[in-house]
This record gives sequence, C-alpha cells and structure tokens, in this order.
Amino acid sequence: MTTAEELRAERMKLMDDVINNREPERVPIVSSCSTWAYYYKGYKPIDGIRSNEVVKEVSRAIYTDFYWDIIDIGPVVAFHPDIFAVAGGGTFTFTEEGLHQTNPGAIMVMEPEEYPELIKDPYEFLLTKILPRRYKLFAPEKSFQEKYDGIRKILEIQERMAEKTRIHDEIAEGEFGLFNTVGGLLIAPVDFILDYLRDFRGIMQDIKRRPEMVREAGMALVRYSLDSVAGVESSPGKSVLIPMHIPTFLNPRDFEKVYWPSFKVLIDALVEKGLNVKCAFERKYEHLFDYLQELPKNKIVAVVEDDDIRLFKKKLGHIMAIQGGISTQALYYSSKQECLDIVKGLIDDLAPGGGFAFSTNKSMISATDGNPENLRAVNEFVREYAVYK
Amino acid sequence: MLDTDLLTKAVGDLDEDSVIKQLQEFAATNPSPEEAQKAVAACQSGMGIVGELFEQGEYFVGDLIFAGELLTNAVEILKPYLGGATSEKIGTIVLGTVAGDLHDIGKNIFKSMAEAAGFEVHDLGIDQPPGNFVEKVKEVKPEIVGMSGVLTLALESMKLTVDALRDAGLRDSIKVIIGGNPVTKEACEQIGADAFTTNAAEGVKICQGWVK
Repeated sequence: MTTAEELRAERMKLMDDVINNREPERVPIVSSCSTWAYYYKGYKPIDGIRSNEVVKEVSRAIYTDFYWDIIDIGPVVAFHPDIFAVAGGGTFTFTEEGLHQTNPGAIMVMEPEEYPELIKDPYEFLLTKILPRRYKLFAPEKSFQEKYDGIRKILEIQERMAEKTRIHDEIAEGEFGLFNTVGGLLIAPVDFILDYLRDFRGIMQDIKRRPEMVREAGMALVRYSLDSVAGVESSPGKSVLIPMHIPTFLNPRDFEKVYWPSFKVLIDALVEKGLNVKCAFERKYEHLFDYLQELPKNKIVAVVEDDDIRLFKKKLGHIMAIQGGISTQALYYSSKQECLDIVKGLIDDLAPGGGFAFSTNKSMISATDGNPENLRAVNEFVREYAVYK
Repeated sequence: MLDTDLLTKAVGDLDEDSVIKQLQEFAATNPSPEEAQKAVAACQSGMGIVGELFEQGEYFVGDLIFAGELLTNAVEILKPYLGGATSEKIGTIVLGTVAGDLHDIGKNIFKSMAEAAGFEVHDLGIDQPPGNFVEKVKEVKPEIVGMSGVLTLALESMKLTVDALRDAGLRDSIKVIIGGNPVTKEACEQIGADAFTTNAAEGVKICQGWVK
C-alpha cells in the first residue's frame, strides 16, 4: 500500500512537471475548495473559525469524498473578525456566516498628494501615516502599553488561526498525501495601492491624472512585496501565489504605463531567487497577452479564470503552465453530463504536451460555487481519463 | 460659444483637462439654463462614445470608472446654470446590489451610463434585501429593475429578489436585468430575469430597447 508520504512525493512530481511544462504521468487535480467545504458539510465558515473540530471534520470530508492531488487553497478561513475588532479598523466587513468582503470606500486612506512620500520611503510612510489611519490601535493618542497589549492580543488570535492551518495541512498532507503547492503569497505593488491605500475610484483617477506617480510608487513597493515572501525558499512543485487584481480593468496603455514596470521587476526578482510564481489572472487578460509573453519561461503557473483557456494555452502555453478548467457556475448550474462533456473537451484540448493542471476556474467559496455530485464526477473523470500514455 | 462637438469628443477621449477648460470658459459666459442643458447633453453624448469604445474593446472598466467621475465633475460645473431645465426622461430604473454582496463598482458604472442615456435611476445601494427592491418598485413604478452582484452568492439573492417581486404581484409590470461577473444565460433562466449582461454598455442598450 502506498503511504501518504509516497503519495505526496508522487504528487509533488506531478506539479513539478507541470510547472516545468513537461508531461506528468497524469493531469493533476488541484483543489481551490475553500469555504464551500463548510456548506457541503452543513456548516458555515464561522463554525470553522470557532471550532478546530469542525476544521478537522470538514477537511477530512472533502478529501475523502472528492478526489484531489494538489492543494491551492484549503477550507481554512484566513481572517478572524476579532483581529480587526482589536486593531480598531481594517478594510473588511464580515457576514454572520464568517465570510468577508471589502466595504466600498473602506480602503481609501491615502491622499493623491501623498504619492511622493510613499515613493520616498514606503515603510516609513506605511508605518507612520497609514497604520494610524487604518487602525485605531495605532492612533497617536494610544499609549505604548495599549498598543503593546493590542498587538499581543492580535498575535494570539493569529496563532489560533495558524493552528487551524496546521491542523488542515496535517490532515491533507499527513493523512491524504496531498501536495500543498502554495509556498507563499504576495500582492503585486500596484495592486497593493488599490487594495490597501487608494481603492478603485482613487487609483483610477491617479492612473489618469498622475500615471508616473503610480508607476514610481509601484517600483518603490517592489521591496515591500518581496519582503512578504522573504523566508520562502525554492522547492520543487511549489510556487508563490500572486492574486492579480487591477490589470483586468486597465486598458493596455495604462497597464504598460503603471502596472507592468514594477510587476516585471517583481517577477524577475522572484525567479532570480529560484522561486516559481503562480499568477492568478483574475477575470480576463486577453488584452494583455503581448506583455505576458515577456515573462520568464517555465517558472510561471497561470491560473486562468474567465479567459478562453484554450486561447490562453495557445498564446502563452510555451512560456507558462496553465491551471484551470471548469467554471464554478457550470459546476453549480449544469447537469452532471454537461459538466463531464465540458471537462472531456478541456482535457482533450489542453492536456497534450503537458504543462496543464486541472482545477475550477475560481476558488469555491460559497454554497453556490458547485454542486457536490458534479464536482465528484468531474474529479473522478479527470483522474481516470487524463492519463498520459 | 461652446462647441458641443468638441466637448463631446473630449469626454469621449477622457481628456479631463480639455473638458474642464471648455466648461469653465463656458460657465464664464453665464449661460442660460437651455444652453447649459445643451452642454450636459454634449457630455452625455461623450459618455455614449465611451460606451461604444468599451464595447469595441478599446476602453476597459477602469476607463468607465474614470468616465463616470469625469461626467460627475462636468455636471457639477454646469449645475449652477441649469435652473429648472431638465433633460427628457426615457424611463425609470430601480437599481441595487443584491443582499450579501457589497460590490458597487459595476452598479455605479451602469448607473452613470444609464443616466447619461436619459434614464432616471433610483439607486438603492449595496447589500439590498428583496424587500427594499419591492418597496421601491411600489413607490416609483419603474419600467426596469436592475440587480447587480459580483459574488456567486449574489445569484441566489437575485433569485430571491425576483421571487419577492413576483409574490408582490409586481413582476409582470417590469423588466428585470441582472449584471455582474457571475451572471450567465443559465443563471438568468434560473433566476427568472429577462436579460443578463456582464457589460454595462450592453446593459444600457438592452434597457433602451425595452422603453422604445
């Protein structure tokens, strides 16, 4: 009998082959099955936040009831609402079920006139200007002791959340022999400005009115992005995940002007460190394919969301590995046979030559992101059908 | 004298400096309400060009967000001169992001493009439960209800909203359009909407078709 350790090693090899654009033994099936797993077991994500036992039960259930090889995202909630309560702010709003979203306007904490300060010294600016605006805990009138106690409390909560990740990873890797492919996560510099400083309306005005400032701020923030994966080492089959946010909304001229310069420097620096990069190309990137041609070869895994994945592979498959497949909508709204037909077509077109990993096109977050029966059938089908002979 | 073609073109080009300069010079002439209304109409035509360029794949969502901003600023300059002059209303839309979803970008883009096309838009805001749609529909009696959402869970809320409109006996008197990243033909059918789009410009065209 194959042990979990042996299985994990086999699966690591599958992913390593994919990243290097080789043909693996078979197409690996990647799980982006996040909080959907709680609904599947009749829970809500908040139950996982409250109880480690629920995390265990839910993790075991989705790895027993559905076939997977690789994990991108597991059913562990990353953020605890209490962290933001203690910090006194933040950009997230939590639903009663434990899911979070960004409230419109919640991000805006920086004025357009402050770009020069951000560019001059990002750390200084973030620490002295942004933190106090974002979190009441860091307001100037708070005493050292108050800040110290607050930070300690936040670290305690974080530790409890990290414990859940460890519990999940031990089950996934130790019991089921799955391979966790994500070695770290970072936000690209200009996306950081969008996500944490200027919000959508703000950054779009900046891109039109002061594009050179946005570009320079991006360049200045490369170090900040790199520092968030400073401890991550090169490892076969693993990659650093970058969820990309704003490029899909930019016309190619604006993209080239403001986003691409720092992004290219960032990717080159990560590859230089020996790391692979998994770019989640959220929404559509077809209008930017020409730029993506310039990314380093056999180092990138492209997670394809709403693009035509066949076209993606045709245009960029010689440079990067492609991950994606069935849409969460099809998985929820279509019949089992329709799903199987879709997936067979995808495997027939995308598997030849290797460099392809199968997954849903988006993370499965809410109950509406997939019908369990369809998911089970689809993953079983790929497991049996997508074998290289 | 204002060159309305030039103004329309500047809005279409998203040339903010030119738009503001033209409007400030125009405002300095202390225009009559009718003249100011013509300037508003010229800006709105520019928004129409922006929509066309978006549909042609020349502009992207970021450009639409900025265009909305530009139009708001332009109208702000003209407001003091508009007096009681109003443009002709071609229809009424009740609009909102459905329950459980906090996203507003797509809804706002649709709103500014629909207003530029001559619709009166009643924007409920984000995270709106079915009951709020029902109440507003009873109150303003629109031709159209627009529901927006980004998360897949929004699809469920859209369905509940259509059900609520039906239960209130209002469904047959309105057209329902759903918009946002997760909407598809299949989702549209299950939700019971009349149309769906992931493209605000197309959405406005669909609405225009309904009120012709």
